[in-house]
Amino acid sequence: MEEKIVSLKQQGLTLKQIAEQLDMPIGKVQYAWRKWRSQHGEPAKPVAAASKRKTEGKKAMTPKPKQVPASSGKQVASTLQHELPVQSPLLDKGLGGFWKLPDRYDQDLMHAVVQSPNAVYVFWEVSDSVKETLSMQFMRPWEDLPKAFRILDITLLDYASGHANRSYTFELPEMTNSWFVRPLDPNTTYVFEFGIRTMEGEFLPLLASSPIDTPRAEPAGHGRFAEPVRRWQYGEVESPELLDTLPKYSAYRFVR
Amino acid sequence: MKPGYFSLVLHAHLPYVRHEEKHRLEERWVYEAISETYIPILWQVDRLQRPLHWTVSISPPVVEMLADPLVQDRYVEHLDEMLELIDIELAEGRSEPEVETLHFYRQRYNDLKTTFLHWEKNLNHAFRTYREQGFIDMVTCTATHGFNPHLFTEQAARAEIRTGLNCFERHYGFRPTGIWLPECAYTPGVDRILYEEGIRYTFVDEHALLDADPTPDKGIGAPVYSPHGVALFPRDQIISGKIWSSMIGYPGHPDYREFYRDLAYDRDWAYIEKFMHPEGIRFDTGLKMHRITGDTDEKDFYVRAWAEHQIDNHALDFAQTLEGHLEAHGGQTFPPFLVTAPFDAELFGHWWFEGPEFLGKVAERLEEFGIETITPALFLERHFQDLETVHVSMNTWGRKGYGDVWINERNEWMLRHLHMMETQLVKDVADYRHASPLVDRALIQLVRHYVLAVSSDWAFILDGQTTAQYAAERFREHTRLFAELETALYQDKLSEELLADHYRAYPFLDDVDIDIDTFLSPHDYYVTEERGSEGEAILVLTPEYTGNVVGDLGRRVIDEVEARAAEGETVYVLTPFKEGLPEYERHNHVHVYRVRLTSPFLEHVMNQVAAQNVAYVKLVHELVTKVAFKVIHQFDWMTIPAARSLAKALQVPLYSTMLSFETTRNPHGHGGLFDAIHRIENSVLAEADTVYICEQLSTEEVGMRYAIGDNVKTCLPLDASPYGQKRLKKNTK
Repeated sequence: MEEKIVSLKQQGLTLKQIAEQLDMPIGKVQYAWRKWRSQHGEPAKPVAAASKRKTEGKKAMTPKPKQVPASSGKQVASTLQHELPVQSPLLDKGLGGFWKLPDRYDQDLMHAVVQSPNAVYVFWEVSDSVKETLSMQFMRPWEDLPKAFRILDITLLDYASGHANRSYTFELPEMTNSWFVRPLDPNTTYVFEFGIRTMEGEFLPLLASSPIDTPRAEPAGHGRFAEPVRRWQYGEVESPELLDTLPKYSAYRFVR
Repeated sequence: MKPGYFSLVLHAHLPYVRHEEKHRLEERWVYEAISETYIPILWQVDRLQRPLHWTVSISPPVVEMLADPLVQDRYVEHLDEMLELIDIELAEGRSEPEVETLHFYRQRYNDLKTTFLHWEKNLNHAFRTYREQGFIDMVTCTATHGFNPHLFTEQAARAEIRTGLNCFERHYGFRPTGIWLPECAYTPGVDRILYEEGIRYTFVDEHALLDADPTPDKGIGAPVYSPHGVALFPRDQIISGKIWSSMIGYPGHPDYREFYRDLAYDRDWAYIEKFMHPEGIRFDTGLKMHRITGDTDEKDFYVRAWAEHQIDNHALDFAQTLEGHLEAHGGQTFPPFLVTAPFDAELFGHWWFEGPEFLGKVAERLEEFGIETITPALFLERHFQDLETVHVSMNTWGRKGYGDVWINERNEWMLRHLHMMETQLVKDVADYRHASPLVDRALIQLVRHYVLAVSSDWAFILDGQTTAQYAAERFREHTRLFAELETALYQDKLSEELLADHYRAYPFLDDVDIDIDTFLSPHDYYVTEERGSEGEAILVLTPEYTGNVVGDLGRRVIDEVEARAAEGETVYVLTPFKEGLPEYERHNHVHVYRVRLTSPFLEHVMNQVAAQNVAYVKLVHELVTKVAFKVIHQFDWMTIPAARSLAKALQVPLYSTMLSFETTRNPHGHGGLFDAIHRIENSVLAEADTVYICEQLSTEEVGMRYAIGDNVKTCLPLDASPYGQKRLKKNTK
């Protein structure tokens, strides 16, 4: 099996393609390939020559050596910088030195989940750097900037276009990091935004949720999904024109 | 044969409540389920000895607990204690109806023990045997019954599904093509993952189909396909209601056993103490001596013969009702009308004591009535061509039909931590997979901690507020173990002993059930394995760049970036998004990100600038997980806030190039915006390592309007690096 993997790899297939061809888990393929490579002192290159990855023109094709877990006893750096984290973000100590759930993770995120056709639960977090950037911009401490929340109905629209069918903005109490947004309409695509109200009264969004559909609560007849479903069913489109939940997540999605 | 079909589905699930220490009250949930539901259902299958077309779903926690020697042995001890209690009760000289019921219980507990020992204490063997004999069909559930609409990532949903199937296959020797979605909770997109994992059917509540788009022609009389091709079998609420509702259904009949009145509460403490919790807690023994009697607190004693009589009546009534229902829809063809009746298995026996016998009797009546029973698998085999494809929105079989039970003011506090664990797993798997066998096992154990934390049972229990403390503690414990193990991974403190300790706390799932690669994304694979490393990079923040050059500034930035790139430096350029230009471009070692504002329609300049700065900071936050920056170079006042904040957070030197100042552009300017820009410009003069100003500006001139120090210099020729080499060396690792 190992020779087969090596031979396919040398023919220029990616590990994924090999895994598919041999009907093996990619982990196993990768393990075998690595093992072979380390045994043969092969300086991991070039396989990609024939692959379609967008790595062309790159000088170093050599995969980065496996990250070695940081040596123990290292100081916790307060910087964001590219070192391996020294402890789990979920590790936090409360009074008496006992573990407790962290109050926050110092990230910028906003997640929304459906509670019902008329309600969505949203939670969010703003990182210290973003807070600081805003205080540097507006010359006011973060706590003094009024917080607000915006509901955007973007049914059948692209959020990135900036357009919405309608929107509603309301003030939030300071220190709020979650909200049950209600009442909402069923069968509607929403985006939620958290931000500040500027001196001019303008809403300045800092975070946005992914678009989310509220469930239908009554018979749809031949509704807005009927045609997209039909087109997908009959292979008239390459990918479904439907808003699926549970997207694939990449830790390094912005690293290209 | 009558037209149409009936399909019964029973879902057996309990949270994983196996504890090494003795006397945990929650372990009794397992004993009760075995005594009242699992074995009594097996008795019916064994009695009838023929294909019943029941589909039994058994969740991985139940499978694992049934297979656990510790649980098995303790269950036998529990049965012995019960038999002892029954004997003591019989010796007490109780009333005649009580004695009769006690004899019934003695026989029953003896039978339970006989059956349990017959299957060598592992009821998985019993279910597996009956399935292999063709009497029942079986499916399973996701690993820990996580509520999939509230998961954050595809990976977590896939891990729950695949792990559940792996665990089931290890115990049952086959991989089912159907699955029970926890809480019958469907969310668009979960069907794609199910399909990819080999699942062809699952169950939903009836409003999933009634409100589907387009409305299915057959209503709930036939399953439908979801957009990604998974058949969804709808619960028929009219038929199901006959069985589960204590108000309109059978279980509330006065002759049936009363659930809430247990012998433990009718006896003196001194008498019952021996059978109770050593810490003096009274709990249900399972010996319930009364019948429902009616809407009264004065309960009469249970009379077994009367209950048996009612079972017969109700089985007959059910068959007649079903017959009428099928006949009313008899005209339906392609496919014929199907009634699907999915239930929690524990409803039969545990909540409705006589339920399993009722199911057995119903099976017999249906045969007599000529009503055809069918499994979903067989139905699909016959009628797969006749199903419509529709869009189904998020829904569940819970209270009000959606997510109210699993996200509300009582349990919402868990969600952000669960999502954090998901994204950490994705990152850890990308960073560490296959680093060593020990590391891989640690990753597997992290997944184990996560799935134990994500069980929908914790949210459900917190919603109901009974044993809420236990649920909250379990959630916290799994999260803490996750945090501790992840920290050990980061600090290179993994050891065999540590992993063994973590596993021993909750020995749920075999390592082979958990595939860490379910958490890997192709992009992360590319970044961690194929992208290669690059040197420490220069971060450039600029309002103008290629494609968006307004004046000298843009040209200066391009020239500088090209000069640095020519020297072999890696440069990340962050600049505003411009319609028609790509959001990301790369030229050798120069990465260009054109960054969208957090909102495109801001009216005020200052707010647009703020939105841009926030967007830069958020992007850099993401980049620094992989890219090491050694210096930040910002151009013009518009990028100052982000640059300052990032220089502080990253602890790297900040360089600034100002080709003009607000006061030089606008010598007579005044007003709020003028002042604000002036203040922002001043702030960088105080903080930057060096501020390069245009040759046309003199420091004296700038010094008249700004507080400048000796860090302000005239721009260097392009071939001279603006970054003090000495200083940089100190900062590089």
